[in-house]
Amino acid sequence: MIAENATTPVLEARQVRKTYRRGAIATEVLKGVDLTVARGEFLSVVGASGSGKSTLLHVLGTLDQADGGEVRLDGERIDNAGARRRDRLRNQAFGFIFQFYHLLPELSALENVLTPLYISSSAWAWPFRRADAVRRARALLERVGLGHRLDHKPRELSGGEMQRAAIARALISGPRVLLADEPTGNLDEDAGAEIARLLRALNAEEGLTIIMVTHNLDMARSTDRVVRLTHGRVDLSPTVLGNRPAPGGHHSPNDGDDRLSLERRPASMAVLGAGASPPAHPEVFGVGHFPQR
Amino acid sequence: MYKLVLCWRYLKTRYLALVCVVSVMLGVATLIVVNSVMGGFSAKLRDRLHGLLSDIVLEAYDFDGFADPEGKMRRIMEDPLLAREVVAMSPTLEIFAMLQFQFRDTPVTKPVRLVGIDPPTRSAVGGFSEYLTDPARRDKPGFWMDQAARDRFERQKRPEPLVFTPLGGADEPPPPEAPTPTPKTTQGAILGYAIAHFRDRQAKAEDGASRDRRTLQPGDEVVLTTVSGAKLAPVYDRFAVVDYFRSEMSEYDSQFIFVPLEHLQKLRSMEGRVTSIQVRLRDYDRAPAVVARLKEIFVRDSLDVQTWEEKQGAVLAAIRVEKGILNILLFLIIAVAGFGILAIFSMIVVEKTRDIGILKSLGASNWGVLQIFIAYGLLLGLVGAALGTLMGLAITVNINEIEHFLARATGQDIFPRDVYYFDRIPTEIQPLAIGLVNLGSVGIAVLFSILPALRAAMLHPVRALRFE
Ligand SMILES: Nc1ncnc2c1ncn2[C@@H]1O[C@H](COP(=O)(O)OP(=O)(O)OP(=O)(O)O)[C@@H](O)[C@H]1O
Ligand SMILES: [Mg+2]
Repeated sequence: MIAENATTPVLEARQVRKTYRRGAIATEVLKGVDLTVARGEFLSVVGASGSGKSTLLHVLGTLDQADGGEVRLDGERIDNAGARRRDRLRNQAFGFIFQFYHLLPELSALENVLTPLYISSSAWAWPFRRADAVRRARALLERVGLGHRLDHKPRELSGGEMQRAAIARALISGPRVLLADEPTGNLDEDAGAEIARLLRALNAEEGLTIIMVTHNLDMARSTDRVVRLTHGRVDLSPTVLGNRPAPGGHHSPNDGDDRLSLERRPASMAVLGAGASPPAHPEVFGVGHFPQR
Repeated sequence: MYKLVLCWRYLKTRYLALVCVVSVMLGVATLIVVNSVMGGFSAKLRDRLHGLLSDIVLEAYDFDGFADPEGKMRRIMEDPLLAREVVAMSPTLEIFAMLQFQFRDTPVTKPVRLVGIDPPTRSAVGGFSEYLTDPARRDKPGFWMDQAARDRFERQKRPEPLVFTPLGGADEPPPPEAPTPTPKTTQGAILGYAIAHFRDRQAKAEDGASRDRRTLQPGDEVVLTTVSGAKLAPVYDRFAVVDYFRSEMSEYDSQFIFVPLEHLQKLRSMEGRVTSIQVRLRDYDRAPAVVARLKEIFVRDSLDVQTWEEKQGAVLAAIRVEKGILNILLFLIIAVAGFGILAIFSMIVVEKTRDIGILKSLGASNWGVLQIFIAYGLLLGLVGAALGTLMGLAITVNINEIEHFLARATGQDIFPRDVYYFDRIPTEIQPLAIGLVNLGSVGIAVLFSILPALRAAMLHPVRALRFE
């Protein structure tokens, strides 16, 4: 990771707009989203189905292009980057995790994890990088608990195992931000909890910045901060669940970020701080307090 | 890097892709086999067409021929360019004639082309002595009779001349003119093989191999009737069969009869005139220059100078055209294989849409995705072409065995050898043609994979990821 000024948010979206057009019908999915993510923060994004969460994630991760607004990565604009730079950003700066794992079925778990390095390496350079790359991929697979499944094809893995392989793949090139789109959406409770625990551990131990879209409110509550998307905007009403109390100890990215956000756009964040307001819509979001990891 | 890995994996896991490989393979194999067999046939045919013809022929425009061939040959050897290029020359006198002989006590008459030659020089020019059936005569070309033939000739010798019905039927024919100086000895004649033999198809049915029945043995007497030089009066003489000429070109073998040049000149009262001079070159590639020079030298002599290829121009051109058209038609096979690749690739792109989205989310560029599919097409083409080449060569090399097997299995004669006078199916493996076929098929495979590859490359990553 690039050492940056601690006050610079790792990822920042300003007035991001995205409209899908199909013939004469235009659907405005993102109507000006503001979002600031601090380094080391574990942010979850919630919202009704079709509210544009995936779209936002794609725009942030340069998979899709916004129609307006700005996206900055470590202070640099990336929304208007050219195709080559976007390819490189996806390869190195962002790691993606999807609901349906999206592993390549022809490749083993190990090879799937290696894919981002395959992509960044030329065929000539590969023989020299291979040994090192394989070592790293193995270590990552060990880290996510798949050390014993290196040579299995995706179809020979369970959903939870596939998602762990996908996480290892997202991490192999040392991304600055991990973008997870409903990583537990397709898993049963236990496997989902495993994945959630893994992501929290990665966030806590490695200081990984994570933006996670989820429908699982328990999971959302366990993250540093929750942002709610409503009708293409970040919901400003104080309805979003609070976060866990400000983490003390090993890392506290939130403090700086919150301060920053509050200073710049005091109202842009939904709810900040430690469980400040009681949930206004408990029927939607469930109960307001949350187990600690 | 991922391009190679994925290409290889796709090739290994998509059995559908094997269909492409097989269709390219079959196309390539067919093209190679057909090309080699066609090449073999046309090389053989060329050989045979060349056959009797020398490299260059100086020819009179009419049957009366031209005078003083020795003087002309001397003039050729005096020219520095020609002296360097010409290896051998032979004067030849050619005329139509009627052949008559007795077979099982019935007179037989056949139209033939009578050629008067000088055996040693004619052999030096080529296309003569190597086709004689008597091996002894190949080393010592001439019209001599061996002992067995002489005995037979003596035994059969009749006091009266051979009985034959004169030409012309009921009308009063012009009385045949006796040959001016009656020869003391009967001259020898070398007959085209097919004149003196016929195929016995009954015999073939019994023992499998076809058998040639001989109608004229060495030592048998024949009568040849032709016309004299300028006056066109009928003349005839008796000759003794001494040998056969077998070039395996049926046009020659069923028509030509060779007799001594000087004797034919006397018979026809030609006084040293001949109808053509056969020329052999050191290097046939320089024929055009030699022809030009010869035309220059003999511009006043009303001589036609032609290479053998020009004389056989129509047939050679027909072979070339036929081969070209066949190749074009066969290339359509590969085009069909190409459409197979197009269809199958389009399917694979649809099937792989999500994977393409994944690759792009991991940082693969459009160009990279394009390369995967083009390389995939290239790989299919290469594998197909390589296997096809191997298969084609294997079939070509073993084509006779395969034909034997098929003939036995089906009871049908696929390649009737007596029609072609070949005992084996001739083949000629042409590296250039094989190279072109390979290049063409790989090119088509790549060409037809470009369209699906472009579609894959242009896929929007998000849409590809959302694809169900
Ligand atoms: N290619 C497209 N063309 C038109 N509309 C689209 C297109 N892609 C997405 N949309 C619309 O954009 C809206 C937002 O989609 P998005 O996938 O971002 O929602 P989401 O919040 O991720 O929903 P979910 O929770 O179900 O995943 C939806 O209404 C969807 O119908
Ligand atoms: Mg979604």
